[in-house]
Amino acid sequence: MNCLRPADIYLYLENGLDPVAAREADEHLALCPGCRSAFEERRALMDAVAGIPDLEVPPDLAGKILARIPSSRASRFGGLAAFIIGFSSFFLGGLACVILTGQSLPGFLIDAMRSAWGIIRDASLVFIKFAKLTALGLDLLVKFIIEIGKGLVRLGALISPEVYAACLLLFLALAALLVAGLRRMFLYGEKS
Amino acid sequence: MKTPSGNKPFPSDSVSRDEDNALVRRALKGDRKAFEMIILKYQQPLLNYLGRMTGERELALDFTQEVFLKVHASLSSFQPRFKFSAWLFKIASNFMIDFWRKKKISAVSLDRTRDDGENSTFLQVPDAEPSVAKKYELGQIKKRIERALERVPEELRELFVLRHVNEFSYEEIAEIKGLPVGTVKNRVFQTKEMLRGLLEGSS
Repeated sequence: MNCLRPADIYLYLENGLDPVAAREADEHLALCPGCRSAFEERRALMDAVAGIPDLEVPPDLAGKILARIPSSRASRFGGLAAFIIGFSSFFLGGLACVILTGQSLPGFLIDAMRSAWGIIRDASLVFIKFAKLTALGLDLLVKFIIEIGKGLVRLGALISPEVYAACLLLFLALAALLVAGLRRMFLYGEKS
Repeated sequence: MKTPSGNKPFPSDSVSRDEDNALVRRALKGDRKAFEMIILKYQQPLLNYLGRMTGERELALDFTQEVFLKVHASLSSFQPRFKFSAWLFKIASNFMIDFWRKKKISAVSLDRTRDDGENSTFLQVPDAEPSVAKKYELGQIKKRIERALERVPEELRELFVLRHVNEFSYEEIAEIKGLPVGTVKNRVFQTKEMLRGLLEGSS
């Protein structure tokens, strides 16, 4: 057997060599003083590395972290507080408008409702147009897929079944790779 | 992975995994005690990792807090089919990458050191130089290793710390870092040889 490489020595020290390689390494170490010296040196290094001490954790670390996390009760209260603040602001804003414009309260409310109705009407029109565009897009997509299907059928008639099957398999493999890549990207861990 | 107490092993991998998943489920429902148990379980290994990566204990303590806050904020994205500790350290690793990116630290060019091919130094036949380990007491060597580790490029140091301080398996490190297992092994061996060289150079 040739002399052991450092990578082999580290694998040997971690019981990472397969049984045959480990036996060969044993036999070689018994015969080669150079490798034995290199082995001992790396074993001493690994023994020292194994004993690197823990850093001291302050006893209040968990408490400090938890103090920085808002409690769910506080979150719920936060939501309620936001609602109360929003409603109060709306009420006070309306009152200020009544005072500043000199309108009566019913008149102000009617104007406000008209404005709100105008916003709802405009938003509805935008929504209807968006829905129409979406339907048109879907229609185009369906037609596109049908045309692709027709194209594949015609291609099948032109080329041999083996080439056709190979092309189809290649396409499916690419699609599977794309899906696997997207899954890995979106599902696992935090993305920086 | 190395345990919170340092030496006492976790009950078993699958038990620990079920336990972690149960704690995550409870924490997601707003159970603060459950998240506290997660912190208590992982604060030691996380501090060990961040401490060796930053080289400053106080900074590592701040980062430990930040990482746990990120973990809490991202809990809903945790997939129970993955190992929680690997997921947590992936977040910590991304945090360190962001930190280095901001700091623009580049100790030693990795182009020179990160060579996984046949020409890399650790694949050569070892020399039979007089042993460093023989020259020093074990305790002294540990201190020297800690100092030498700070001089190793971050990308290599991180893999070494995950393997030999946090005691993750090569497969787990590969999962955390998104690298092939063979590459992880090569780089860890390369780091050990680099450490050995640094220790010899400073002896």
